[in-house]
Amino acid sequence: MLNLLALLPERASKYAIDVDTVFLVVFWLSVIAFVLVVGVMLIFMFKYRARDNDERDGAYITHNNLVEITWTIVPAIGLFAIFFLSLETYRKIKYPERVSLKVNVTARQWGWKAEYPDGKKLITGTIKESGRVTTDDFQPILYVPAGEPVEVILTSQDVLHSFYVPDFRAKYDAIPGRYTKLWFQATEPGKYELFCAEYCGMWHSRMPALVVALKPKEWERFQKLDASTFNNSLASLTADSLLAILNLPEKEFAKFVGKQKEAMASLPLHKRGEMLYKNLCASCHTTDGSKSVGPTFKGLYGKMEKLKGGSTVKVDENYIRESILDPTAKIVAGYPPAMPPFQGQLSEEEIQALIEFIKTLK
Amino acid sequence: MEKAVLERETHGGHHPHVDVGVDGMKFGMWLFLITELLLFGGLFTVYAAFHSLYLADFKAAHHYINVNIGFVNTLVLITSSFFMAMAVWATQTDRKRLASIFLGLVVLLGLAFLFVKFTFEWPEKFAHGLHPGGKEFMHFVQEGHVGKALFFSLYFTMTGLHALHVIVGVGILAVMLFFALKGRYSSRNYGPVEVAGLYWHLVDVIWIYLFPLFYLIK
Amino acid sequence: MIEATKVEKGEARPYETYLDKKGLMSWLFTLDHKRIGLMYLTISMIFFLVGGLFALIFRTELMFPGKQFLSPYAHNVLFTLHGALLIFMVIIPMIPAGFGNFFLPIMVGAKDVAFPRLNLMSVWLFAIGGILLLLSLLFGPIDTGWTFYTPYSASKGLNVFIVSLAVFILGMSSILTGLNFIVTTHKLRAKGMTWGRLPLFVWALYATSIVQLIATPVLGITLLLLGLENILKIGFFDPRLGGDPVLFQHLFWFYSHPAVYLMILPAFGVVSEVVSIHSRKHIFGYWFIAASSLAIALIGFIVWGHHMFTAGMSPTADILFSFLTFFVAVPTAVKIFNWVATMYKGKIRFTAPMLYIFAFLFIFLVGGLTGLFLASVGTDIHLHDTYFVVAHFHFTMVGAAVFAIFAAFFHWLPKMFGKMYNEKWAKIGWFLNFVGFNLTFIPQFIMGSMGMPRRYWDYPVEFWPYHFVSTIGAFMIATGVLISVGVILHAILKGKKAPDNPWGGMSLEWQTPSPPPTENFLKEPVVTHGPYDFGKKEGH
Ligand code: HEA
Ligand code: HEA
Ligand code: HEC
Ligand code: CUA
Ligand SMILES: [Cu+2]
Repeated sequence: MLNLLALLPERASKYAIDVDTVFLVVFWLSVIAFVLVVGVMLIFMFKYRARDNDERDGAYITHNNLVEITWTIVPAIGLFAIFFLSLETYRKIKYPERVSLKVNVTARQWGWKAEYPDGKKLITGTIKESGRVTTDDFQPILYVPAGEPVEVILTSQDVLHSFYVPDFRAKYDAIPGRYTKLWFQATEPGKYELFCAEYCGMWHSRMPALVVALKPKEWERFQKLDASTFNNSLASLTADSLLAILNLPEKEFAKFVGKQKEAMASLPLHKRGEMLYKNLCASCHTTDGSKSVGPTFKGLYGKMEKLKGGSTVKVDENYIRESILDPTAKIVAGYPPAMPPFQGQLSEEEIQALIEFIKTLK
Repeated sequence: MEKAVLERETHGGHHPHVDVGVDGMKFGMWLFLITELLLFGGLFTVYAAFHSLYLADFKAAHHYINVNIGFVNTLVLITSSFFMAMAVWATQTDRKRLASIFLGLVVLLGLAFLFVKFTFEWPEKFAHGLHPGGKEFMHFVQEGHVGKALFFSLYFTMTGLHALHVIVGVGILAVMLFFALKGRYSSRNYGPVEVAGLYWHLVDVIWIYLFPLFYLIK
Repeated sequence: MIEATKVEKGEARPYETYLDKKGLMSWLFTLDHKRIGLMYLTISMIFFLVGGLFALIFRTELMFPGKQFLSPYAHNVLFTLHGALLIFMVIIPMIPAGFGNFFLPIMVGAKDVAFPRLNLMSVWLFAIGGILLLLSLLFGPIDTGWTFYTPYSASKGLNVFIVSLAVFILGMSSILTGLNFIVTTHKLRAKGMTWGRLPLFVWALYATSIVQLIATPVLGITLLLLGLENILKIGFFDPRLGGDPVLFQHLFWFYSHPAVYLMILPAFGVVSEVVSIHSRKHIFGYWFIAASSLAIALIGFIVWGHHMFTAGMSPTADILFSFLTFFVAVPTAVKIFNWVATMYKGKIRFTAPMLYIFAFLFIFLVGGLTGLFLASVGTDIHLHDTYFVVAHFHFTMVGAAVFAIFAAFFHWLPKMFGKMYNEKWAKIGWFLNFVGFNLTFIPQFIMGSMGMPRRYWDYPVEFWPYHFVSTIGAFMIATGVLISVGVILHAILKGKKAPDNPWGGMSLEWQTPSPPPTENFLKEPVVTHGPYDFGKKEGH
């Protein structure tokens, strides 16, 4: 009965079945109401059609209070039944019994960023090709354990977005300046499409991503991955590649984890700066010389920058450092004071890494 | 309702004369006043929302407001409302000269209100950069006292919209005064004066609500 | 009732009709409600074609996945303008300000509306609003969606300011019309025109006017603030300045939910008229239909939150709004049942207007019932902002309200111009509209349930078949619309002379000659019976 309809997408979260139950109850009640009303209408249309040249009026019937009261009360009962049914589902959607993982997800124009409690980060970007897009083009944004309730804490950097995973029947808006929450529990391991469901401008349709539900063993290994290793070399892998790594034989996996850690430590400073740039600054600063929300980083280091109010300043380490920590101290001419201060969010070493990276952009 | 005069003759070609009488006009004006209340109602909602969100900031912002000026303007408007009522009474009782004088006083007081607002009150705030985008305003935002900034945004939009209503009211009453001087209104044709009076009272009433919200807030 | 003057073919009318005066000025400065109504209809019709054309363009883009010929920005602009123009310039004003202006005074037996000058001012404001909307295009077309959600819309600059100003002005026009209608209905009813003898179209307009008066000012102030936000940065809706984007949504929907009843209540009025007259039967449950209009208008004010189930309201608010929303469905259901019951033992004529009403009932039922999926919080979280919602509101707005507009056109055209339309072509147009409509929007329900988000310039391939069929359907509607508009124009310009009362109607507008005289009636009307007393024998 529930599967009579191919209308709904795959049912891949714990409360999906509850949502679908309400959907189908409303559906069948509506079918009944529809068939009754349209059926009666069709019968009347046929039975009481005026034949040619029949100029008479219909029968003089004006009202019947009993009938009116009946057809006020009966649908009202049906409607409130639907309401109470949906209430129970709403409770399940809203309140998890427990939560085994909390992830912060931040939306921006036009991509997502996920931050795990242990410091792992995933970032997706905008797909700007003009060709067809399939699920294979979506980048992973969340790896979650299948069978475990996961809470997502949402916010946005700029405008409204909405976190929507149809297969989970899960959706909630990401609102700048606020934190909102949603939870889901993937029932089966697999890859699930995530869409932005709140209009957010130009590339609203091209910020999709993937939520990957992992098997228990995969999840265990995922947790073993060290955060900085993950952030710097694994986060940008496709879901399939990461799954392949997580499914390596035990020995190879252990070796893999160790090697990556070493590799990471030996990464030059400016490379780490580049990673930070991609995570934090790329939404407003380009490296190719084009103007974005803020000035480009290309050729920035060493140049004389015109400031608002007419003065100029030479771009050196100190100036960049100040711009990052307290951006409103000096505002570049022709730009709004739109940059958020990063005071307290970046370590001294990370700032160094960023400066080194900017230096490489001649 | 029975007052409505329905002439039913065909006068060839001219636009038919519809007359809903003073009652009809007043009814129409009351409906319009409801929409005006709802227009400001939207703003009061915004005020209430931010007031409860930024209680401390709102109280603090109060110090930048000049209560005395507000008080003077409140007196000015209340007096004008009184003269307005007198003007209606004078028209209804065919005291045409008196009616013109009262209307003239209302217009003068309306202008006085605007004068106080736009030569003393607002410029002072602008000078301090308290307007949206102003120096002090942005300062509030940077200090994290967004509530203060919102208070001033509200202050300017709400008193601004109100001032716009005063301007429209003064305009309408000036036209009335013009016709009153020509002797158009009398006990048989006092509808327009009465209806304009209703509008003026509304403008007054709205001010009575604005005054405590911005000037007396504690 | 008064006798209509019989006019033979070729003979000049023995009275001056409202159409007689010629010249542009006589139209621009007319105080005649009939002319004002016609001006509304003309402007709205043009915007309808333009707005529909925009839909055709972006539907063509959506026919295949991937980019076809529009940039994402162009696409976003097109659906924004499509929504904004059709809502504010077409579907809200067309029946009340167009047909309502024309027929309300005649139906109550008045010579004009209560305040003819104000009426002229409303149509002027309407035109100015329309022009401003178009002017905003010069400053960079807006791409905010018709809902103008902040903060996206809060930092766009002058163009959003101009659009919000335009909508503010359109709102003023709408308020003045509503005010005029209420006073007219109260004060200008003819002798014998009791409240119980008012045609249901008048009741529907009365309920509509209440909504206009109460809801529109809130939209006005909201958009004014949005406009100021854009040019002065007052910060009410901008989180960076401490503002609250969700507050904007509350204020917006406080108007825009009642606005959906602004669109449908007048359409309900048309249905009541047409069903009764073309079934040649007394309307069933007159008072229940009249009262349910008022009930819908009033309950409609307390359900706005159902647009915001995923927008960060408290759970209590979610539940409350969901609960209240189900209330609106009850009076709506009552109406539908009464219309069907009106056909019982009638003499139903399958004229073009009646065909549109059959289609209306069929489609509105689906539109309303799918509203229930959205009203229940449990399912709305999944369906919100998907094509399911798009399909829902096109079922109610296009399938129901636009079809009622066509019904109104064919039903009243003979009266307005004294000309008859071509029945055969009107029916062909109807067929294309009806079939094309279902072809366009039924697939949208399916893909919406599958999770296809709305306002997408591109979509993953799995949704392709549905989009493809939908676009084919859109072209079918377009053909139907063009034919129907052609039939209307042809009737006005070249139609055969229509009798004064082609359908045998009993309400006042059918008792005066076609086209109506400047003064609406040749003699002062005195009403002696109800508007739907078909088949009534002496002694009843
Ligand atoms: C003419 C316009 C119109 C009308 C009449 C309606 C009518 C209704 N609408 Fe709709 N709606 C819109 C236009 C309209 N809507 C628009 C434009 C939007 C989207 C705006 C946007 O986001 O851009 C929208 C969006 C919308 C939403 C938000 C969806 C979302 O964004 O997530 C919801 C949610 O509750 C909703 C509900 C309803 C309900 C319950 C009705 C009810 O009034 C319907 C009542 C009728 C019936 C129910 C049928 C008859 C009843 C019976 C036969 C009873 C027996 C039945 C049973 C017991 C099952 N509508
Ligand atoms: C009354 C209002 C109304 C009407 C009549 C329509 C009519 C149509 N609408 Fe629209 N629609 C909306 C109101 C309306 N819509 C709103 C409010 C939105 C939401 C916008 C938003 O998200 O912000 C929307 C959104 C919307 C979408 C979703 C866009 C998205 O989310 O990405 C789609 C997609 O298919 C669509 C399709 C159509 C189609 C195919 C028609 C067809 O019925 C159109 C039929 C075609 C014609 C009427 C054209 C006939 C004319 C010609 C062929 C050319 C002649 C032209 C000239 C001489 C100038 N509409
Ligand atoms: C939300 C947008 C935004 C983000 C994110 C952002 N910036 Fe900026 N940035 C700006 C803007 C706007 C300016 C120009 C105005 C100013 O000087 O403050 C700017 C200016 C600068 C300048 C001065 C440039 C010059 O030409 O003199 C530097 C250096 C800088 N940013 C570094 C960074 C770094 C490093 C990061 C990431 C850690 C970053 N920004 C993230 C918006 C942003
Ligand atoms: Cu992000 Cu839409
Ligand atoms: Cu609604």
